[in-house]
Amino acid sequence: MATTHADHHDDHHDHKPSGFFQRWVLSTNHKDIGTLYLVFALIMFLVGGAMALIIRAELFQPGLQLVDPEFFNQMTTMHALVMIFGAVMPAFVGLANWMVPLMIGAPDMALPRMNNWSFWIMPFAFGLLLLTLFVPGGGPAGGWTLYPPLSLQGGNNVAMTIFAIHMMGVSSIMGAINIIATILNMRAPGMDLLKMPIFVWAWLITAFLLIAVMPVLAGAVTMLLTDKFFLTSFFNAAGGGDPVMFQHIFWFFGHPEVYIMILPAFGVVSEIIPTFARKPLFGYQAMVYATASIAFLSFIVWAHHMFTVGMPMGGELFFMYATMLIAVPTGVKVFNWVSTIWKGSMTFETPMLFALGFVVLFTIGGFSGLMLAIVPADFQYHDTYFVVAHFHYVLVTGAVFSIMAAAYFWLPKWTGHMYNETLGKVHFWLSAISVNVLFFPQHFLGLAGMPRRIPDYNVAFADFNMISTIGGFAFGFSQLLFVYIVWQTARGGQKATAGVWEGAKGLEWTVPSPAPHHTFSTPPAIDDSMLAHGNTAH
Amino acid sequence: MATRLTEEACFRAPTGERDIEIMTDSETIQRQRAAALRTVWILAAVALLVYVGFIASGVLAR
Repeated sequence: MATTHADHHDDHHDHKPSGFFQRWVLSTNHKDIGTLYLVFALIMFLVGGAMALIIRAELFQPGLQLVDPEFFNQMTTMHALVMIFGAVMPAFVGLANWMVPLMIGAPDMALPRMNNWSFWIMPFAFGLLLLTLFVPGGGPAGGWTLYPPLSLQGGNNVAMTIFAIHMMGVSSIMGAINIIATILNMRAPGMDLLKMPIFVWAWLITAFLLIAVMPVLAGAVTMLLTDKFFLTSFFNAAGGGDPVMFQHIFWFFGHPEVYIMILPAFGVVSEIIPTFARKPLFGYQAMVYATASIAFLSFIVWAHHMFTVGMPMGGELFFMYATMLIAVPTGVKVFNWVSTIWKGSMTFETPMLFALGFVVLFTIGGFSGLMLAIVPADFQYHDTYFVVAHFHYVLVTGAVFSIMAAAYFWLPKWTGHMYNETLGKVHFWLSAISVNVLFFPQHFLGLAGMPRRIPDYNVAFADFNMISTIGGFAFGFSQLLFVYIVWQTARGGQKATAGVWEGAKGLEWTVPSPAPHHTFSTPPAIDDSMLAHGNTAH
Repeated sequence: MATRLTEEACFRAPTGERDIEIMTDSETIQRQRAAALRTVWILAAVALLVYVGFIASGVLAR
């Protein structure tokens, strides 16, 4: 591995393109495209966050205060679409673009031109989606699940939304194909599959999930489109179609989609915890198999989202037990993270704080998921704020926290500068406290029976809603601090070393910081002792 | 050894092309990219089949 250090070749050939257009629009460089994805995701995070603040501001008190109900529904729908497809997924793709080639010793992604195309579809897709807010009738308002017949009752936005979703799907599929082709074919000699960093494994499995389910979503929304504009009746009961069938198809995509957003988060946390515990990851192979098991199980649990539509008892029991089964490989992961920490020589820099925050808070989201998996209990919880609390614990304190952890962890490698540690810790504590003030009371609201997706509510729910809104604004404004920290780090600061962190291991830490524009243009020699997970004998 | 652009040619080539040419420095990497292309076609075909198959099954079920 020592031979990889900075690659002599790169010392002499690290010529970044000069013009802005050449560098960023025509780029085929995985690092630049990774940066584009991450910046795009951050912008979408702020846009989606602003929508969330509109929702929370309206819910601050009972009654209709700020926005009309139709616009409120548009906000709930758009917030979800923007956050899922525009913020979380592109952020993870950005991390993959930056880190996967560095971690496996590849010079770039397997298909650099397609990589450029994958990214540049996204701004057009989201431009189109956000444009729907300004067309007559406004944006989609039937929820991100697009259930017919409600979703088809919109005006011009239906075609625009469906076209935008198709573009996002094409982008995701191309990105996933590129990641799989890169990991399977571009690894440096000696980088066996079971020697790859867990982040790479997590992304390999995630990419297969994407290829399996994004075409299903595309098929479902194509059928919605033909139902709306070409007089077909796939989901139209009046024409002999079945609207419940859409729900089955949607959730066949939708549940693996949840894991598409969380498996890379598992990978990130599995890189950070060993680094700051200064111990190899406990149970490396178990982590790989657990990730694969979760991915497999994600295909056979979709109907737990629709227990209340009316389903045979046998079906409900199957989906209930299959869902509960996911707790086993997930438990393996949590056990392994805790075991890695056990007797570790830990320090608590910002990435570690976010990673530990992830382990604790994601586990809360996992437990509430188990509660929702129980059929009779779900009849009470379904479509209440309990569900909202559950999936926000999974996606905000899970996926978003891991993205924050990853950003702090790899920012020195990307920029060549250390971020401000004090500000980073302030950001973590503000986020960790406010996110719980925001989402924990929503469990109580849901258990008390407050439905989701409503702009007004019974006065009995007023106190917890007020607390939740205060937490929401605190969390939202805390993220501006993150933007400032990233901006400050990109502009300058203390120089980062190649290794950056004392306990860091893996190929990505052998190149200088910032990583040269071109790395590993000749394959590095791999030395097992320097692999991210220590001397793992396979 | 694969063809390699001279330093001068590198500067003349459009940005994206130069990035890609740098990847042809090593024979190993060139072989890897050829294999990667095959993987891409297979995966793209699978994705297309799932998409078309899903809609076709919907049409047949009607």
